[in-house]
Order: sequence, then C-alpha cells, then structure tokens
Amino acid sequence: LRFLSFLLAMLLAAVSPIAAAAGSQPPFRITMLLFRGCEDACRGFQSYLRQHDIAAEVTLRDAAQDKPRIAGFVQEIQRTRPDLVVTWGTTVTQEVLGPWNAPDAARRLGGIPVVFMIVSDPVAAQVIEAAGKPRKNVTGTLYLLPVETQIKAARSYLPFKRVGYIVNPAEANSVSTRDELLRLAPAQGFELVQHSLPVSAGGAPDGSTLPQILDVLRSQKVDLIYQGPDSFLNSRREVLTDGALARQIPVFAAAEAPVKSARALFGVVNKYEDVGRFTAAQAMRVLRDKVRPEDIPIELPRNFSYLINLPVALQLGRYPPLKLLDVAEIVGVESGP
Amino acid sequence: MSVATPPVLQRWLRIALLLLAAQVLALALQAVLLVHKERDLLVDITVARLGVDADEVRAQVLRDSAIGLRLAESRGLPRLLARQVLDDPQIAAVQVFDLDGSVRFAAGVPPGPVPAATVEAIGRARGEWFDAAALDGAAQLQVGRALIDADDKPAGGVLFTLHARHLAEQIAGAREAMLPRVAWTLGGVALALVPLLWLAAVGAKAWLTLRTRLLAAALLLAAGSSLALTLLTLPGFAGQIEPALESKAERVAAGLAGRVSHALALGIPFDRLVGVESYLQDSMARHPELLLLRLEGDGKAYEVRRAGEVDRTVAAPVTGADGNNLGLLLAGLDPGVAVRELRTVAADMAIVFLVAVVLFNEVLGAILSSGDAKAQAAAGTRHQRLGLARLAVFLLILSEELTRAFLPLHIAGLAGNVGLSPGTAVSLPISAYMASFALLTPFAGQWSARFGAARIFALGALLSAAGFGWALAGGGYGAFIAARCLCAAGYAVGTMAMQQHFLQVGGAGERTRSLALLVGAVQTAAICGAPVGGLLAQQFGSSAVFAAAAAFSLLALAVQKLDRSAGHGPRSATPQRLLPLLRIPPVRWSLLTAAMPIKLVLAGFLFYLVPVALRQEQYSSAAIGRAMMLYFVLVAASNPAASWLSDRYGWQRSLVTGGGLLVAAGGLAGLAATAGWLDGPAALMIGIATLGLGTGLSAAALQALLARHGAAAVVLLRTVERMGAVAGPLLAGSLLGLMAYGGVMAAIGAVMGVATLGFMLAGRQQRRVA
Repeated sequence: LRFLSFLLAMLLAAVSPIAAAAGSQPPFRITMLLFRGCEDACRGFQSYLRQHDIAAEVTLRDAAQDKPRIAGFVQEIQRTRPDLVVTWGTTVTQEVLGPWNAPDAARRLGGIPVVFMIVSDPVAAQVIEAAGKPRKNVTGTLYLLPVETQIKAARSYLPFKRVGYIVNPAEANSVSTRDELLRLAPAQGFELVQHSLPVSAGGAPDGSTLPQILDVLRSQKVDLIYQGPDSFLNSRREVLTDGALARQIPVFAAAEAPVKSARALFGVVNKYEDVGRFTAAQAMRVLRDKVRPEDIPIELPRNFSYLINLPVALQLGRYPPLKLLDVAEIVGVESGP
Repeated sequence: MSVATPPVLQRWLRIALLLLAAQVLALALQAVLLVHKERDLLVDITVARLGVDADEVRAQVLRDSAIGLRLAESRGLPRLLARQVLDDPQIAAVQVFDLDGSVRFAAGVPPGPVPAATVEAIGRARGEWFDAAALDGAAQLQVGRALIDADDKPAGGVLFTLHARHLAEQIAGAREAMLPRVAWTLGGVALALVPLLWLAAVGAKAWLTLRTRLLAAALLLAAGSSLALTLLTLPGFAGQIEPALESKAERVAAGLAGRVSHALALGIPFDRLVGVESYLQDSMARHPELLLLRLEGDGKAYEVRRAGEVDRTVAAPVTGADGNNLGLLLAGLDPGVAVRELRTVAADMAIVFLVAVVLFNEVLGAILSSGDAKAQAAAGTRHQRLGLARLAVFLLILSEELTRAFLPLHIAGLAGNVGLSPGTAVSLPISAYMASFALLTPFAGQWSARFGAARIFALGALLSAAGFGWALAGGGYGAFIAARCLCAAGYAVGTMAMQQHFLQVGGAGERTRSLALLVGAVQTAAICGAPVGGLLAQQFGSSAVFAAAAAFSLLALAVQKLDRSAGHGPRSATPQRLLPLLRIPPVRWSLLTAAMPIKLVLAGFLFYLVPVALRQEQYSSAAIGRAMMLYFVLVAASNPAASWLSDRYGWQRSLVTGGGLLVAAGGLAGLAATAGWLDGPAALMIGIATLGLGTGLSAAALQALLARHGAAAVVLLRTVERMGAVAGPLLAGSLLGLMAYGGVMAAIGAVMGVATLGFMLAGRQQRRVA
C-alpha cells in the first residue's frame, strides 16, 4: 500500500506542472550550457524559476573548462530543440553563438532564443556589435559594474591617490579596463601605476612574477590595487591578494571571488546568484511574455553588493566607515546586522 | 445729554453681552486649536518614532525584491520584525501584508487580520499612515507604511500596532487641563469688561466716535485674552510633549548605539571607528528636535551639535562583542520645541482673533443703529437705518465664503470615480455654481422689484441654507453639484435683493454711499470667510463647515426679519432690456475684453487653481484660506484709492488697462516657477497679489465706464462677469490635465494679457471713430 501511494504521489508530481497550467502549455524546456559546473549564477537562475512557480524542465550541460566539448552540446541542441538556451561565460557564449558578423551566425541554432550571462564584455567578445545594437534571437545580462561606479564606491571606504593595476596583455578585457582607468584618472583624482605580466612566446601570461610586481607596487607607494575582471588573475587570486596583504596594500576587486574566497579587502559587485536570478527574469520575458529577444535590452541587475572582507580589514587596520557597515555585506564573519 | 436712562443702560448691557459672547466664541475656538495642536504633536512624535522602524522594513523589502524575491519569500523580515518588537516595548505587534491584505509576517501579538479599509488607506498614503481615531476608543495607535518593490510597484504594507494607553491619557489630560485655563481667562475678561467699557464711554470723546472707541476696547480685550490663554497653556504643553520627545530621542539614540555596537562587535576598536561624525550628522538632520549627538567611551568622544543650549540628554549604552559596556551614545534635546510648535498655531489664533473682532464690529453696527428708534427717526442717517440689513447680507455672504478655501479639495474627494479627468471633475461643480449664479442674477433684480426685497432675500437665505444642508447630507458627486447650484441661486437672489434694498433706502442722494456700505459688508465677509472656513475644515472636517454655513444662512434670515427699515415693499418697475445694449461697441468691447476675462482669472485661478495647487504643495486648508484672504484684503485696500482716481480724474480706461496688465503680469510668476526660478507657492502668492491689486484698480473704473450707458449696463456687467467665472474653472481644470500648475497660471495670465491688449485697441478704435 505504501508503495502504491508513493507511486500515486510520483504520478501526481509528474503531472502537476501541466495540471497547474491547465491546458495552457507544457513546462518550458531550457538548456543551460556551463563552463565550470553549476555555480552561483546557475543556481540563482533555477531558484528564481522555483520561487516563481514556473514549470520548467532545465537540462544542464557542463563543458568542465574543456572548450572542444561545447561543439557537441550545440549539436545536441540542434537535435533536441529546447525552447531556450542559456549560456554561461564568455567562452561558451562565443562558441555557441559565434561572432555577430559571422556569415553562419544566424543559422547556427536555427532560431532558438539564446540568453547569455557572465560575459564580461559582450562587445569586445563580439557577441553583439554594440550596446544599442541588438542581435537576432539573442539577449543577455551584464554583470560587471562600470569602472567609474566602482572607483566612486571604493572612495567611500578609503581615500587614495595612487592606484596600482596589473595588466594581463593576453586578455582583451584586462587591457580595455586599463584604458578605462587611464581615462578616468584625471577626473577622479588618482594616478594609475601599471605593471604588465610578462607573456610567453605561446601567449601565456607568467604568474610567477606576481611577487616581484607587488614589491614594485609597494615601493611605488600605491594606496590601493585594483583587481579587474581578468580570468588569469582571478585564478591566481590567492597569490595576488595574500601577497598584497603581506605588503599592507588593500585590494579592491571588480568581481566577487577575490573578496569572498581570497583576501581582497573589498569590492562592489553583482553577486553571481543575483545575476542568475536576473537572467531568469529575462528568460521569462522571452518564454512567457513572448517578447522577441532582440527587443530585450542587455542590462545589469540593478542591485549590487558592497562586499567587505572583515578579517582583512582588521588585519590591515583599515576599518570600514559606519555608513558603509549599514549597506555592506560583511564577508568572513558569521552573521550580518 | 441726560443722565443714564434705562434704554441707554440697556444698550450698554447689550454691547457688554455682545463683547463677552464674541470673547467666549473666540476663546473656545482658540482653546480647541491649542488642544488639537497638542494632540497632533503628540501623535506626530510617536508616528515619527515608528517611522524609523517602518524605514527598516521598507529597505529590507526593497533589497529582497531586487533579487527577485516576492514579499512572502523575504529572507530578512522575520528576524527584523522580531527585533523591532523586542527593542520598543510600546510596539504591541508588527504585521507585513501583501497587496490583497493577507499577512505574510508578524511579530508580537497582533490584534487580528488587517482590515481591507486599512490596507487600502496605507496603499494610498504618501508617507506614514496612522489612525488616531482608535486612540480614544481602544487606546491603540496603528501606524502603517506602504511597501514598494524594486520596480517602484506597490508590494503591500507594514502595520505597527502600539500600546497607546499612556498617549491617550496624555491627550485626554491636555483636553481637561484646557477647561480651567479658558475659565480663568474668561474670568479675567469679565473683570476687565466693565472698566474698559466705561473708558470707551467717557474717554477720548473729542477725537474718536463711539463705535471706534468700542472697537478699540474689543481689540484690546481680544488681544489680552488670546495672549493670556497662550501663556497659561505653554507650561502644560511643554510638560506634555517633553516625555514624548524624550522617548523618541531614546529610540534614535538606541538605534545609533545599536549600529555602533554592531561595528564594535565586528572587531573595530572604539578609538578607530571611521565616519562617526558624518553618520551622526545624517541622523541629526532627520530629527530636528535634537541639538546634540555624542558618542563617548574609552578615552575618546565623537560629537555633532547644532546651535542652541541643550536642555536634557538621554543616553543609550554601546556594547562590544561580548556584550560589555564600552561607551554611551547621548542625544541632547532642544528646549525650544514647545515654543516653536506653539508659534505654528499663531497664524490660526490670529485669524480667530481677527474674525471675532470683525463679527463684533458688524453686530455692533446693528446694535448702535437700532438702539434708539427715536434718535434714528430724527437724525437717522442711512448708515444707521441699514445696520441690520448690512449684518444680514454679511452673514449670507460669510456662509458662502466659508467654503471657498477647501471646496476644490472636498470635490476632489467626492469625484473618485465619476469617469471624468481629475481636473474637470473638480472644476465642473465650481463652473455649475457660477453658471447658476449668472443665470439667476438678471431675474433676481426683477423679482425683488416685483415681490419686495425682503421676501426675495428670505428666499435667497433659505435656498442657501437648503444647499448647504444638502451638501452636508451628502449623496455623492451629482447631488453635490445640485446642492452647489442651490447655494449659488440663494447667493445670487439674496445679494441682488439686498442691492435693491440698499438702493431704495439710500434714496437718490446717497445711493453711492449706501452701495459702499453693501460693498463693505461683502468685502469684510470675504476677508474673514476663506481663512476661518479653511481653519474650521482643517480642525473639524468639511461637514462642520457646511453645517456652520447653513447656520449662518438661517441667522442671516433671522437678522433680516428683525429689520423694520423702510423700502422692503414691492415696487413697480419696468425692467430695462439688456440685449440691445450689446449693440453699443464700447459696452460690448468693455464686457468682452475687461469684465469677462478678469472674472475668468478670479474663478479659474483663485477659486480653483490656488486651493488645488497649494494642497499639492502640502499646505493645510487653513493656510490656503489665509493665502486667499490676501486677495480680498488687497482688493479692499486698493479699491477706494482707485475709485477716487476714477471719479476725480476720469482715468477709467487707464485704470482698467493698468489693472488688466497687472493681472496678466502675475501669470509670468507661473512661468518663472515652471522654469525653476521661483518656487511654486511663491509664484502663487505673487499671482494672488497681482490679481487682488489689479482687480482693485479696475473694478470701480469698469463699473463707471458702463454706468454711462444706464443702470441696465451694470446688470449686464454682472451677468457677463459671471459668464467669465463659469469659463474660468473649466479652462483651468482642463489645462491642469496637460501641464503643471505654473503652466496653467501662465496660460490664464496670457488670456488676460491678450484680452487687455484687445481692450486697448478697441479704445483707440473708438477714439478714432469719435
């Protein structure tokens, strides 16, 4: 009897999304293409659907940082034809969509709408032509705050005149961030002190030089190191932030990980989970509200988080102002306010 | 002069009683004002204290919704609400409900589900919503605030329920304490009355008339009693609000101490706290009753202060990570709050004072004139014979003017869902009123000639009373328009009948002077009516004003029945035909380019736009009434000088042109407000002032210009003026749907400007023809 009632419950559960939609439509079929497993943004996307009682069948495909696998996923999508595809990260998005001006770009997924997320700079990555120029069947979300906003936010914590920046010539967005910082420097009243990572003949940056670069930055008396949205430096975040802390230099990070899982002092970021939720809201506009993807502007989520790594603050003796404590998310301690 | 005879004594007794009655009335109203002020202040302070908590709830909901959580899914609310109930022992419960009113989170012991009416009221309120009515019955105060999501869309609301027995007792205590104060003051008045009247009877006979001396005595008495009542109230008032201010300051200090404790608990050393001063500064800016905020402990202190001597301080402990005391947060209170708050009722008290003296003056005129019948028959000037008639017409007009300041706001409340645009919905009843007025004006003159002015005045007073009674009874938007039309009919019929009466009694030689008596009554009523009506509406609601207006109409009827002066009988007259007059170009052009537009501005700007715009700027109906009073005061002040210039030098055309251009120039202030060079209320005041001066300059001259073409031309003038008054609110109402009120003001000014240019051109044309 117990088995029977269990079976009945399972049957009901399987039918319920359809029953709930009572003759309107079956659950949405969504395929998510990931690069490093289902992390915060991927989970945020799914929890949004759950919390809004949206009946959806979400299929996850993880490339596990292996670029060639992505082509296989594209073939699978062409076969299974889901209602919507979500791509995570610059690499996956580029592999799935190709450059906006490639001849076969439009045909690749045969009209299945695509929503991308966690792409640092979709224009530089050639995913779209320009911010105001939509691409057919494609929309997405941004996650990096404008550098100017970040600089202003950093100043509400501590004053600075000299900002150190480590350029990674191998990554386009590291270079474009440097250019942006140079442009902002006069108006924002700081001086940019930059050092480039050496790059091997094969084009790979050399992380072993980081301690020397930090020493130079310290001797040049920088008040702050700005860590940009650079995948390579992000992967070496422990070395970078621990080294800076040992030299008593605070690090401001443009992304979440250096503050949350290393020793950057602070950062103003869109948390990946929030970006995932915001992306799910965009996806629903396509699926439920039937808005054409090209009519949905590619935007930043409006809420961002001011992250402060408290143990680092205490170690540096750079204490956050009271006003910031009211709004900031404190990292490295048990409970908030 | 004979020794005091019984009739003379009787007359003095009547004057003394009248003076005492005016004082009782004024003091009672002033006492009510003071009690209301105290109650409002106590409730406001408590509501402001809860506003700190409501802000926290609102911020939490915003943060949650920004990441896609619905209200019901909020992560932080349960902990926040529990903390709020724990922190403030006065909070009995907090409930957070969504749009359909179902409670999603609650802490404490809620009184029950949130009623639908409360949900709706909180959703509509701009800031904090509160229900002070429950204070008297259940000794509970409920304070609510609408919640919005990250897209600025309504998400629900939060409702705090407070244990307010203490607050209710304080308010009841304030009310009870007022009675002996009024009694003491009245006792003083009674004592001072006899010597003052004696002084008025015998002193300064050579320079001042009896009436002036009596008026001076009344002014002195009213000023003294108002001052005495205020001074008697001040200590109790301060004693009442101080504890409320103190507990609000404690809430602020505890909140700040909590934030500092949080920072210390994170491990920040006390002497290395960052940004304390600017944090305290922000908090102080939100709480004007604080003069000092100081954080002290462990050899270091942070402090911000405002100019002024701190009276008392309250303190909250600041604790560290392990809960041990590390310092104190002190909040210093401003001792001047009570005096400052009492000062805000000074304008209202002064209006009551003024109206008491004016009422006394009006009734005094009637008493002095009817006191000695024999003397009147012998030396009886028109002034004396018309005393009671003047009082009657004063009361009738006062009844109408009482509603002036709050009427558009009252209509806006009725016109919820009549399917008209808000601007039109408000302007329509005003225009219907003016139309009814315009239609009846020509007939009223004929009727009173046929049936006698007394009967027709009685009819007018009854119609007015019926109209106000109907407005009081309610019945919705349509019924209200009908009620207003009845009032208009009563007003038109009553004033026209009285005009006939004054002309008849005045006789050929004194026509201008008796008309001046009538105009004086009209102006005095207009000056008092708007501010006192606004005040009554603010304190007691619009129903009270409609009731008072109905009572004044009936009183007008009663006073007129007492009047036995001659000239009320029917009179045969052949009514002059009006329409042929329009064929005379000077008449036609003066009516179209001067008479009609200036009344268009009066009704569209002053009667419609000013109340609506000032309410938009959060002014009370009492303040609106005072603003409108400026117009009537300026008309009354500039009219005599303009009349004199018009009669003496014959500058009629120039005065009408000048007045018109001045009124048109007022529109420029609206333009300046739209451009941001001037703030809105200042622009409105400039508009009111130029309209008052412009009208004062041109009114008498325009009448004189038309009077050349016979009495019928003056009747035609009134009729055409009222047509302008019909168009004004409609024009302003429809424009207000399209632009801000500054723009509407400029547009109305432009209409006046174009019309005045037309008037100038027509004048030049006529001169050329001549």
